[in-house]
Amino acid sequence: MTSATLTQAVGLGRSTGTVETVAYNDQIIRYSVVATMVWALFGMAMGVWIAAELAFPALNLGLEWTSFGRLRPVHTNTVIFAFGGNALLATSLYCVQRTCRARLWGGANLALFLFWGYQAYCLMADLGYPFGITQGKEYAESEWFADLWLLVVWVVYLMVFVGTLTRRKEPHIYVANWFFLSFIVMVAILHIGNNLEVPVSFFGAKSYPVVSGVQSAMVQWWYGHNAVGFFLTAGFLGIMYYFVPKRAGRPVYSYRLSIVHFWSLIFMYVWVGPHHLHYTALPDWVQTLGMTFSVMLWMPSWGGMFNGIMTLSGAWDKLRTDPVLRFLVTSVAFYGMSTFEGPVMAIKPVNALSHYTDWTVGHVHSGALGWVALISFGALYHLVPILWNRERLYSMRLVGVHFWIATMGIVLYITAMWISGVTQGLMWRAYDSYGFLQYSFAETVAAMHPLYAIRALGGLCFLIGASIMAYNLYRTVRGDVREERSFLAVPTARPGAAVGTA
Amino acid sequence: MDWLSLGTLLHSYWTVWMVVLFTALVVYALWPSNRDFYQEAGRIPFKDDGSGV
Repeated sequence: MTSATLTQAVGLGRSTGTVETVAYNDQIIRYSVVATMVWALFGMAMGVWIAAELAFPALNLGLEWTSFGRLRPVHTNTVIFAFGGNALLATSLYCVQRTCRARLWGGANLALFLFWGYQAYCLMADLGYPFGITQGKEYAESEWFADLWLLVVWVVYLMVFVGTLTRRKEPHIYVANWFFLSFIVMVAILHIGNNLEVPVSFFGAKSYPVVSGVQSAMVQWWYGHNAVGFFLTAGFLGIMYYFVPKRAGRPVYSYRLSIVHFWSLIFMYVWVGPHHLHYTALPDWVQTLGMTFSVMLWMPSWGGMFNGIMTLSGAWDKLRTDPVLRFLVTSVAFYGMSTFEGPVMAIKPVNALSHYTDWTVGHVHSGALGWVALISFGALYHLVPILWNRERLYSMRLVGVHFWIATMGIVLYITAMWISGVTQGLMWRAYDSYGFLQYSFAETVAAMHPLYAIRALGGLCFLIGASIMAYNLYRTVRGDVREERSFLAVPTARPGAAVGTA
Repeated sequence: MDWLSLGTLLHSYWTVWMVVLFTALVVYALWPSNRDFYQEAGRIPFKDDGSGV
């Protein structure tokens, strides 16, 4: 390991001291950043396609391989595990090195194995779904051979992360690393627990789970909701606790609140899975337990949101001048919205209306697009100039354009799904004066058509935004800098305008 | 009381132990004398940007 010693300012200019700087392993992070963008474009394009299939069924092409049922797991697995997973790989390994002031444990080759091994898993899983190679378990569709491979890769990830923590030069482990570590450990436990399966044959792809019936459903949603809780929440909160302070140039609003936030999530999240199984064969007390913990989870989630947003306290003007920070802070606002909506939908009477409808799809995408994707975009915009040693991004204006197109896309998507979901729920439960169902299922599908078209349009906006980002990052990596008017140069008043009171 | 009975007794109060543990963690985090330590910990991201290879 090469290292150099220099004297530099420590901690916002409060004090100075001698700090050893380390030659960090940024190769895997650069690779992961590129992979994040590539998978994002592919996964989002698949999302737009299948959304369009629902509005215009001819797009199924009359082929089983391109039907909605086959392509949906390609979309979900790509955006969650390939796009989100690579974003987490990049940010966690960047953050742990910087906050521990230590180079990655295990050397460059182990890091490369981790990166390529993870890409191999994503490819292995995605290539199987169009051909019907699937367990049929939501967000855990990959079959036993891919699951085993992911387990190996994930253990390496854990070793690299924990190994780096153990060689840290900073006595305290920064809170972002707590979130990243909980995500890595818990995902390993969930992955093993939900994929206990018996292959039909050694050379065949098919397997069956060791548990069945309602137990299988409970294990699946213990996994499913904790995949949301630890993959899509804890991991990305790690991003928030490092990148929001870093970009805002000020420490997190309350470090102590971040610790309470962490332990609250750890203690509460694992209990909420049963809210996916309301009004099923699952024992009623388990459903109520899931509902209760879901509502309790409201407090730590909003504590975390408050902490993230208030980090800008005293520096709100930066939102006007820094579109990258706008991505980060808006994502935290969406985190607050989603974590408000989730507990509401977990309340049984509300769930009676919302379950099995598009309201759930809208809720998921408010979190996935608004929280996960926006914070990943913000972190990537922050990282790319640093990782490729560039003065700044190619174009901050394009970042602003991306922000507004993406936000517009999210709003179109989630409002269409809210309206669609509530409409579905109300139509399904409507009775006529004779006690018969008022609408046939086909009538509800027809009522959804314009909303499905709007949803596809929202997704298309989001994809266009991501494409603009990919172009911006590509030009940044090439070393290009676009000549453009600074955000700071925007006049606040017209020249010669009279100043007075109304 | 044998070990099995003790284990059963402790297990039946599992939720209570978890609540006690969680409360202790929160109290420790908010304890006034820990304020300066945690304030300094919040500055860790600003201590080093280093250089990557």
